[in-house]
Formats: sequence, C-alpha cells, structure tokens
Amino acid sequence: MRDVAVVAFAQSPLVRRQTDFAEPGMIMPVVNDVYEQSGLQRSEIDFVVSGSADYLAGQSFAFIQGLDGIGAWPPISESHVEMDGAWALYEAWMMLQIGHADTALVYGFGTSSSGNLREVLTTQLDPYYLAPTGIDCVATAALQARALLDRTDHTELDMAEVAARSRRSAMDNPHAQVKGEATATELLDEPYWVDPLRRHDCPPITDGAAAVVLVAGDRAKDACERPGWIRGIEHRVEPHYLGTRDLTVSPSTEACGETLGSNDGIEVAELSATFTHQELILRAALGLGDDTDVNPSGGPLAANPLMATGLIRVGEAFDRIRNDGKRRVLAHATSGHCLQQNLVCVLEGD
Amino acid sequence: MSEPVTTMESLVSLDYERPLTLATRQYLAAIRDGRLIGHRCPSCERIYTPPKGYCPICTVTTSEADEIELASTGTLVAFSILNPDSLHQGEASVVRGNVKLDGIDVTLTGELTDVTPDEAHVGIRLRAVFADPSALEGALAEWGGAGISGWERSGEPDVPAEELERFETGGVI
Repeated sequence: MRDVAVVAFAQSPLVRRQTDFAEPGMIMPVVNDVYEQSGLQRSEIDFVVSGSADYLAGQSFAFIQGLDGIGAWPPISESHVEMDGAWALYEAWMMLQIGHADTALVYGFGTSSSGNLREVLTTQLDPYYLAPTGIDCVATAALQARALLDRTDHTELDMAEVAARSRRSAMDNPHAQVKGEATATELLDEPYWVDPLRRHDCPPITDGAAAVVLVAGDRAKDACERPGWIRGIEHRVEPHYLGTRDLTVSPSTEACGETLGSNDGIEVAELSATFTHQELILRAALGLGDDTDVNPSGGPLAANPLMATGLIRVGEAFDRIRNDGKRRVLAHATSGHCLQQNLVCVLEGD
Repeated sequence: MSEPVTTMESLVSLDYERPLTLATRQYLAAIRDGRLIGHRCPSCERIYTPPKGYCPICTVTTSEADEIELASTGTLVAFSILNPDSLHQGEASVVRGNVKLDGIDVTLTGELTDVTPDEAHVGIRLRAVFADPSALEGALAEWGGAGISGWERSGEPDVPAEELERFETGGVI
C-alpha cells in the first residue's frame, strides 16, 4: 500500500439556501482555498473527482456545470460519482494506490434547497414497492428510530442528548447552521414532528460544498506540516429494500470498523449521523467508547449539505490532526435511507 | 383469468425553484433597460454573456466591477429549421440560429423573428429583440439568452461566409 494523506481541506459557508451563486460559485472558493493551503498549482493535480447528485440540483448534467468551479481548461483527468464526496475520495484514494496519480483534488457539493428534499430523496427508494407509497426520508428514519426505541434500552432522552451535545459543539464551528445551548430535557418539551422524531432529531436542509487534496508519499509533507495519513478506508452496502434489514443495527458499518480497527484508540470520530438515533447505532457498530469525542464539529445535525456531508466529516477529522494534534481519528459517511450504505475512513497523524 | 401484470406506471413529479444568481439578476436588470451586458474576466479578459459571475478558465469570480456593455447586434453563423412535427413546436416552421455578437467571441441562440426558412443563410446581420420586461419574471436565467425574445434583421448587408470572423479562443468557452 502507498502512503496517502489528506493535506488540505476547505468548506463553503453552510447555509439554508445559497442565493447569490449557483454551484460553481460555491465550489470555486473552496477549491482555490485547498490549492493555496497545499501550495499545489492546478497543473500539478493528476486527478480530479467529485461527488454530487443531479436530483438535488434539478438539472441533468448539473455535475458538468460544477466543473466550471475548478478550471477544466487545459483538459484535466476527471471523474464523478453520483454520491457523497466521501465516495469520490475513495475513488481518488484508489487512483493513488494503483499509481495512476500522485495528487488528487476531491470535491463534493449540493443545493438541497432547490427542490422539496423529502420528495427528492424518496426517489432513492425502489420503484416498485416503496417509492410509489410516497414514504419520505424522515418517515423511514422515524421507522428506524421507533424500532431502536422499542427493541433496545435507548430512550428519546438519549436521542435528545445527541442533539443537545451536537448543537453545543457547533457553537465553536463557524460553518454550523444549527447551534445552541438548549439541554436535552428542554428539547424534549418540543412536540413530535414525525413520531418518534422531533425537529431536533433531524438535520437541517443545507446548501454547501467542500474540497480536499490528497497526496501520495513524502510529497504530502511538503504540502502540509501535519498530514492526515489514510490508514484505512472501506465502504459496504446493505440491501436496498428496508424490509430485509434489521434497522436497529448497521452491519455494513460494523464490518468496515472491524477491518479498520475502529474500536482501537480513536480520539475523534466524525459521523454522518444525520438523525440523532443513527449516532447511537453507529457508535455501537464502530465500538466507540466514551473516550472518543464524537462530532466535535456539531456533525450533520448542525449542517447537512448533502453530497458534501461525508467529505466534510473526513475534512473535520483531518483538521483535528492538523490543527489540534490528534493522532488517530475516524470519519464516516452514509448514503441512502436508514444508513443503507456506509463508508469508514481512519486517519492518523505522524 | 386476469391478465398478467408486466409493467407498472411510475409517476414522479418533482418541482424545483432555483434562485437567480447575483450575476443573472444584474443581467436581467440590464435587459429590462434594453441593454445587453457581460462580464470581462479580470485575468484573461474573455467576455461572458450572460455573465456567470466567474471565469471558469481562470477560476476567478467576476462582479459588477467587471461589467461591460455589449452590442446587441451580430451575425448569423449557424441555424436550424424547426418544423411543426418536431416536439414542442408551434404551427409553422421557424428558424433558430446562433448569432455571433459583434466584437466578442460569444454566440447567443434564439429564434429569428423575420427570417423565413427559405431565406435562412449564414451571414445575415441581426439585432436583438428585447423581451417585454413583464415577461422576464422567473425567466430561465441560466439558459443562455433569457431576456432576449428573438433576433430580427438589422437591415445591413450580409457578411459573406468567407469573411466571418473566426473565434480567437478556438471555441474554448
């Protein structure tokens, strides 16, 4: 295996609705920022890959428009995944592993505000049995939360505590959209939104973009004083149809975690727990103890720019190495309803 | 016995509402005044109209400070004839053309209002017909020529095909 490291990370303002710029206008500043951080010129980047979903933008080939933000002339070597940017990072990591590139730019972006997000995400479901029922992502998450509450010792207070802690952590994050000091008990005074979920159990709708630069080998140290070495990255998928899964557990995350040693010395974990109860499921799947600081950025409950959320988890985890001197951190990304597909990445500092 | 089910209808309807970007709002405001504007990239000096708010080649943002007023006249450099049996067409055949604007290497695409299919040929001199300002609300701003409802003959003599300027940028934009 080649040593591959994250050497730069930037994220756009994460807002309810981006009004002054289309996607390229969100992407361009973060891409220019990571180039500046790394000291690399555009011409020194061997491979570019992005993650986005045209369904969010409501335009076919919206991901091509995104290329306006990165400078694709003279021609570049470029790829795209119709997924969160964390999966784009996986593709870039593979390109570096097989030696087709030594440097890569990865970015993810989305304007969740363009359409009715709950309706848009229903199109992720199978077209025969679930999508025609019109069930949306909050309702499927509520089914998952109900199953968890009824079949484990977890309570609605546990869920509210996840929200309260995330919002408190987000107060130190200038990019966060939802922050505050309300206690879990205060949050529980709110009415149900989609039973058993309250508003605080659900993520905000967010527009935003993020970018990361990967470098292989010793060059990483030239690009960053304290690189975040990718010691393992793995993604696994579970059945599409919700009825064939036990929604109270995340075996795909667990399998990734076992391979990567997620229960061993992880100081910080940035999890794409977009609903409060999913953090409880993911902590168990990854074997994270109380000594692991989970989502110090506030996580997706503080800002959830779909298609960048997972990549931001990698970037935030990297920043704990780069800026805070942590040694071993973990990032998690998810896709689909009820944690259908999961990616786990472990980063280490020198 | 009932007929076997072999297919099912899958009806999906999604509505989107995209904000007009800052650059597009500036563009449409100018169109309301009967002016065609663009942004000149401060780095490479390429001109974009409608303005994007950035130069995708140099990856620099552009703003009102980079705004320039453009001639709303040009020359037909390509055309196609849309017949009534095509999708989404009206009662009569119409000519749609690419109009290369005077002075810059940008074409705008639009309908030719007073050129019949029989008359269409490369080199016709044209000028923009600005849309009624009341029709601009909610225009599909990022789709090229929003705000210009069509192109009409300017009355100037044709430009011979061999004299048509070639794009200096080689069509990069």
